[in-house]
Amino acid sequence: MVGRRWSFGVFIGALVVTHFLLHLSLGIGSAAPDLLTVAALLAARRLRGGAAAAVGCVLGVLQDALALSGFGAGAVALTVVSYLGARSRDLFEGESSGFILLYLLLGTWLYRALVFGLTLHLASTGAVSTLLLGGIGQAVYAALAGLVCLAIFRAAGGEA
Amino acid sequence: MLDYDGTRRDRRREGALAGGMLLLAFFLLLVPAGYQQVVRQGLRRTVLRPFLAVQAVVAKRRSQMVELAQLRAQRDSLASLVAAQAALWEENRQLRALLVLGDRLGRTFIPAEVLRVGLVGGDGTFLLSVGTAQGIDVGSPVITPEGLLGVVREVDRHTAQAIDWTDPDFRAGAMTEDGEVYGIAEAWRGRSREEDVLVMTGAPFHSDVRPGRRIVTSGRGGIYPRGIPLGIVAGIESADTGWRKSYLVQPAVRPEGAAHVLVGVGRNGSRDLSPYWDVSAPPDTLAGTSGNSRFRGSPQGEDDGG
Repeated sequence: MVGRRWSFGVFIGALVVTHFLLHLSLGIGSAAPDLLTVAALLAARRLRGGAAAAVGCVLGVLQDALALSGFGAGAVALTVVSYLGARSRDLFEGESSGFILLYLLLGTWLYRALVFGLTLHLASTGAVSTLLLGGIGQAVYAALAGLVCLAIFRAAGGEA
Repeated sequence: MLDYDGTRRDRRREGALAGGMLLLAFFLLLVPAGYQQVVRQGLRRTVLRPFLAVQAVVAKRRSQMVELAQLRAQRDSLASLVAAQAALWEENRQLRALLVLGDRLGRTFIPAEVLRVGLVGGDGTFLLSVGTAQGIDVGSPVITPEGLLGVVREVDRHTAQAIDWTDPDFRAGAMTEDGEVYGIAEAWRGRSREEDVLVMTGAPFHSDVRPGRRIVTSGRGGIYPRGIPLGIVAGIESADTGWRKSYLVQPAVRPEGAAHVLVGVGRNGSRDLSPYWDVSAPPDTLAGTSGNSRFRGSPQGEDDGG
């Protein structure tokens, strides 16, 4: 049990490192999936609400360190999303691929929507269509990438 | 990892912890920009430092892998600008020496690599492979052979963070290339990032700038040198009311296509780069100067680089 917890923790850490490698070190930009939100959401399903919020806050602050405007918006959004992710276990139990895909999709899109709302005052004109179209596309991309990563983790023996 | 057992006391404690984290996050969101910058820089210099170090290596390798012809063309364009700047610097140095102002200026622009992070909420932000060690400062303009890309906002020792013209905070004093109409250039959001353009606001109501006219930096504000292309007028913005006109400007530089740039070393706002882009604007009478080696006054509120 302890080994599984550790291996899952390493898996989450690997997702975070991969995220920053892709976005920051390699500079792939929006062509790379948002694995940071995926990591926060997957961790939230295994953590209590407070711990999930703390993880979300820390990861959100890290994300915000790379943007010059809207500092803190990512932290607020990821804290909320992670807490809701942890509490979602009260309502939904399930580890099936379909459920995880939907969970990651909704969580990632909610994160983007919250960031969009919190930084709306920064934009000269609104671009809701960007959130509705581009945001959903990015959320689907992140959810699929997260599902693939989770499948690889499970196949590697990290989890049954 | 802990399994959630759901007792009332635990729930209360978890709720309090989550609430505390949310408060902390809101605190970071609402804290003054100066404090936010300290936290950002602290994180970049510690936790994110390894990633930035890898980025520097990757940027070097990537530039070596670019198609040779394309690389040569870009380098030639940049080299000509650097060479032109070197001549200007030498001329300035001599003039300043004559005026006993001393040798305060070094080379004015240096080449750098651009890195896009592509994170949520950071569309208009990019990283540069140069920092304070190379003489870069906050407010240094970032240019390409096609024109103005953006301005440096935060600087570390070997890296810098900058905004491009799509950032909502971007402002630059602008004028038509003949110097007849002055205004302020800022971002105008399209439905998608690819549709973002510039808008020149604050132009006099009686002005009539035809589509196709080139818009360049006016040099007012002391951030951006005068004469750097911003774009081509595409038409009048639909929201054209009051005593001023606003013109939509098709930008000279698409941020997503900029890989190699020149970054200003130190303050460049008093310079005049008009000759390098064949801009023929007469001297700015409001600024009260005509030479490129004399300090120009800087009215507040024009180009502030954010």
